[in-house]
Amino acid sequence: MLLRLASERATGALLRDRGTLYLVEGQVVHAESPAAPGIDVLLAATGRLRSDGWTEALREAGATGAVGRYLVDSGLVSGGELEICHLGALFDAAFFALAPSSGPTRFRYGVAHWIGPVRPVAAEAVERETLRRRALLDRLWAHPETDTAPVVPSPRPAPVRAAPRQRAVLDLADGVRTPADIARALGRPAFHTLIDVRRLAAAGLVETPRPGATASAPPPDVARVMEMSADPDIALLRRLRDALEATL
Amino acid sequence: MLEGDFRVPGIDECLLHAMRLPGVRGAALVDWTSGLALGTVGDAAGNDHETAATETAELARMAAEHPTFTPVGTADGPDANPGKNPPVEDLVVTTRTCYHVLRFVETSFDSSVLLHLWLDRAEGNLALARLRMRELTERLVLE
Repeated sequence: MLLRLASERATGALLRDRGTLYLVEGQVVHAESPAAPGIDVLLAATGRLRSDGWTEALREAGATGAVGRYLVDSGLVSGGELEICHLGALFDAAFFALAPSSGPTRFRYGVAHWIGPVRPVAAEAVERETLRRRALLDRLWAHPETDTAPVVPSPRPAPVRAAPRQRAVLDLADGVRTPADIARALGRPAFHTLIDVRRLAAAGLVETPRPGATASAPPPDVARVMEMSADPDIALLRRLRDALEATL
Repeated sequence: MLEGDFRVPGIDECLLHAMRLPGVRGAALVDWTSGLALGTVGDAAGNDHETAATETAELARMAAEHPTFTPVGTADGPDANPGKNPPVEDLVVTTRTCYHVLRFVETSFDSSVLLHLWLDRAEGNLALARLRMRELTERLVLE
């Protein structure tokens, strides 16, 4: 579908269930996915650009679809930084948006993204890179469950020391946050965090989840508690924990 | 160039400036975590720019991650913010006929990007290339 739209030189938004690709004359100009931090998150997490800078840029240039240009013209980011960050966000979101899925694919002609033109990429290059990334993950540690399950540090003594960038990921692994949550907290592309988590799992520094563990519904007891109240009752959760521990 | 087209000094300008150095065969800006070539110019070392980028990324990652290569006696030891301060500034690989210089780029946000320059050994000037790459990578994120 993407390559056909590229050959048609189509302009608009390609909507899939895990993300959206924006095309201008057949080239990919941006991508977004709920699984990947947006360019605003990447730039604001540690960079010079704070959220008030974004608010200003969106107010001034959002309606005309030229937020990228506004950010550079007003000196909030350099042209090089915008391109680096934009390409990072584009390929990251495209990786999830183009993942195999049984969901519907739709194309809405004429739809544009507020970021505006930054650095368009050929659709073939995006498709090829997405396939390369999937193969890379499987080469590192062929356990796809690792990508979506909460990251659980290994209780065993660490056999090796994690590299500095991976240590930042490990520090946020609390058995609750998923790789996507960690990526958002660090202001890094989600795919980069998937790589780190698969490497950490291969090195035995985080647990490798069992297949199917991520898709399963919460255990009945937990589900009952969740139904009772959106605001968890700490005392009830403690009793539940004690009861569960007693049965182990 | 179309009216309203948006071009600012960025990746391409950085790479084109790098190509003006004596003896340069090719240059690329590479994300060394994913192995993606963000921009390329000139010839590719080996088969193609995409393969060169993944292999360059692998080499850079080793240098950036192994504690042996962290600077001595500075605050940016293994526990420093790795996104902002790559522990290694550059890497030089010398073959019988060529130089490869990999320069880590420091950005204001968390990233893992390097500039790869491929130089002819007879025509290239390694010292000049290293100096210019430092300037180019600083300008890439400031201008």
